[in-house]
Amino acid sequence: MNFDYSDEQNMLREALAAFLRDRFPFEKRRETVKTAEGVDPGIWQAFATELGLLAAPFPEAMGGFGDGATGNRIIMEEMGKALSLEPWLESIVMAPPLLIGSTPAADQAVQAVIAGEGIVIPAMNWPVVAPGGINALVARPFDEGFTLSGHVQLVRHAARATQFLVAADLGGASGLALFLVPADLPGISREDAKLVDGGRCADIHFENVVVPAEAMIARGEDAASRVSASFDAGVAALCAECLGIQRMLLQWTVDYSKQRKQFGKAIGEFQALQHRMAEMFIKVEESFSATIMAAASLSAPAESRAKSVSAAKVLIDQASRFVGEAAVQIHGGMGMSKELPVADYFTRQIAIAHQLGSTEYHFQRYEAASFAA
Amino acid sequence: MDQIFTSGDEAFRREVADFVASEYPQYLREKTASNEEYSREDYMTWMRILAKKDWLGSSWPKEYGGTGWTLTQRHIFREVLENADTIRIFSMGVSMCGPVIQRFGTAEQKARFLPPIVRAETWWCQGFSEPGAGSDLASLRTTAERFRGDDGKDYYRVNGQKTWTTYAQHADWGFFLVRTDTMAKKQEGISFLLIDMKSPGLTVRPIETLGGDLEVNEVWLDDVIVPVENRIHDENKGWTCAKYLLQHERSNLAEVSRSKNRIRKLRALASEQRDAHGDPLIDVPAFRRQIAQLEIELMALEVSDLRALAATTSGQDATPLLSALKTKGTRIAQRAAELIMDAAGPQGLIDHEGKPPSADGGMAGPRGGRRAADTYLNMRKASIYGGSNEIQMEIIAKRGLEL
Repeated sequence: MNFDYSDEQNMLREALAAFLRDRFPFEKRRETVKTAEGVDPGIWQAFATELGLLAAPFPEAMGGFGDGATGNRIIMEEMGKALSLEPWLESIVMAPPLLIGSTPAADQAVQAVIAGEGIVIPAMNWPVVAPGGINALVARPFDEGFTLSGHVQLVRHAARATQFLVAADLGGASGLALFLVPADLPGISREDAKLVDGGRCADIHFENVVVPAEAMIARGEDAASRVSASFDAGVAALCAECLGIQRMLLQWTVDYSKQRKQFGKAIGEFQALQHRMAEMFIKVEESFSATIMAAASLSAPAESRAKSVSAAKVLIDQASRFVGEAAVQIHGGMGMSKELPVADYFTRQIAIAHQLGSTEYHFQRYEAASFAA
Repeated sequence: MDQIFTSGDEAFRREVADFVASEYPQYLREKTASNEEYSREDYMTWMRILAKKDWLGSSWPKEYGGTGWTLTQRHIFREVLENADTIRIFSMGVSMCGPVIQRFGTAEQKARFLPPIVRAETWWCQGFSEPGAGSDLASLRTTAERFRGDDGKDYYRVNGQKTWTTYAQHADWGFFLVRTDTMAKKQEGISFLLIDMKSPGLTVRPIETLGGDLEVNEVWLDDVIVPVENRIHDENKGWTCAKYLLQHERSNLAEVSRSKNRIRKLRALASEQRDAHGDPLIDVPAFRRQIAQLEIELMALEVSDLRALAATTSGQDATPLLSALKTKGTRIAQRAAELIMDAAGPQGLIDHEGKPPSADGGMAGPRGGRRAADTYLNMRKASIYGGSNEIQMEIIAKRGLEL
């Protein structure tokens, strides 16, 4: 048992942190979210070419560094600290479990992602519950292939996708199937929007989109287990991002409390505030442990994985609410203003609580696993 | 770190579980199931069984008769015992005084005191707190005055009062913090003494606490004579020993396995109990949600506990994390006792007055709910002892956040 990072993992983390400090400082983020696209494509390109980062979590057999879930945890935490706008969660964490080993075309898509040539966005209404539910598209046989119809809501980074991964209901007893489709196929239309955290998303409409039979990469049990693996990997990574955000909020709050003077002394000398910040520390440590637990559970059987991952999401959502609110409170009026990054970091936490399943959803999912008869 | 436990760890877990299953006394199982109070002999019985297997010193190095286990093995050992709901290994000798003797004791002191501890022959108590020195331990006032005896040897004459001394009534020996220099700054004039509890001038008086338990005592020291050779480490270096010891104490305060066990009992009880509509309590969504909340917090606590152990073992300063662990661990333990009391309902209020409740149902209700109120009340101590939770917040603020 060892919780320390290896030398390689530390190097990875430091290289990414240094890169983000240099190329994506907070002012840069502020500017970027104000642009029409809300993205600086140079960052992702640099991940691929300068840093070789995109290969990090993948197995060595695929040309990766084999850092796996721990690699994603490290990277997502740094992304959180810098409030990154990159589609790591979607294209590097969530797409591969849906793709790898399903069809040759799917494996090629993963290779393109690693090379920085493609961005694959899972366009699903998470959480994908079951076929016949409200959450999947409908696939109908057509010619040698299928047509896809339906509507997917609030897909982050949709405009950056080269390909979408969608879940569709085959009808009857056939169940769920996964399709890998080019993002610019006729019949696919996007309605773009900007979210409070500065991220971009889109509602995606599929109107009788014609796809060949090979576009279907998995079906039935296989598709369902891929979806749940992708979802759990995504939630675990999101927890790590949130941890990074919490760490920054705690650090800034402590720094501010030492420097801001009222009644002739630094406000950090008041015990009421010290204890509130100590409570923030407890929550951050708790979130760190929950993040480790979630990442470690990804190699476990599906049911215990779901239980651990959902437990982590509940706890991190709760801790984030506390840490974020306390950060704003202790910063006082400055916490309300958009002059400091606190506002943006807190806002991102609020968004995370509604991303990949709400706190309530994860509570119920935990309970379903924990209280099964 | 993708997986916490390895397959070798799982084999070890089975070995411990098999041992417990075959060697743990049935009569203790019965007592536990009815939440009866334990006697000194109950504690000693189980410790002797473990000592015979050479497992009592689970956290000690081999050279002192310990197991030499890795921290993972120690964690698993504790977890298996707690899972099996065994009576706790209540040995301040093993968990607190032993490590101090190992770290700071002389060869003679080690040879004299360590073997009886690890063989479960002596019971130790801790004489730290005083009426005027609780969380602010260093303000203690019990004095030890050095003098040359008629036999030409050096002794201390100890005078003062200790309080909240857990199981002093059972103890053969106590480890005490006493003031050997009244002029020095408060942390600097303290020494660490081992005192025979049968010494003339030493009086133990029990304190009845919330919940009716007789666990803690006042200990009066009136001209108690202690040989200088019973001092651990140098004179006036007692605070160093105490800090070392308190770090050990805090690292056990997360009580992860014990809380897991309490939650298991809570779930069993909530399955037996019905709400006013006749539904099992555990199926009532609002009650179930409270259990889920607690379980989720405990899952993270368990990882924090492992992190703290790993950090401490590799020599890192984990002080703020240990304080977080103590605070969070005691909150969870208290909350579990509270939910058990809620689930037990009015039958959990029955005062059994030290008499064992009957094993069958009857008016006492389900066995899992016996003395639930007593236990809840007793558990209020958890956020007070070992450095109150407010003190832990101070430590986090000062040491973790540098405020």
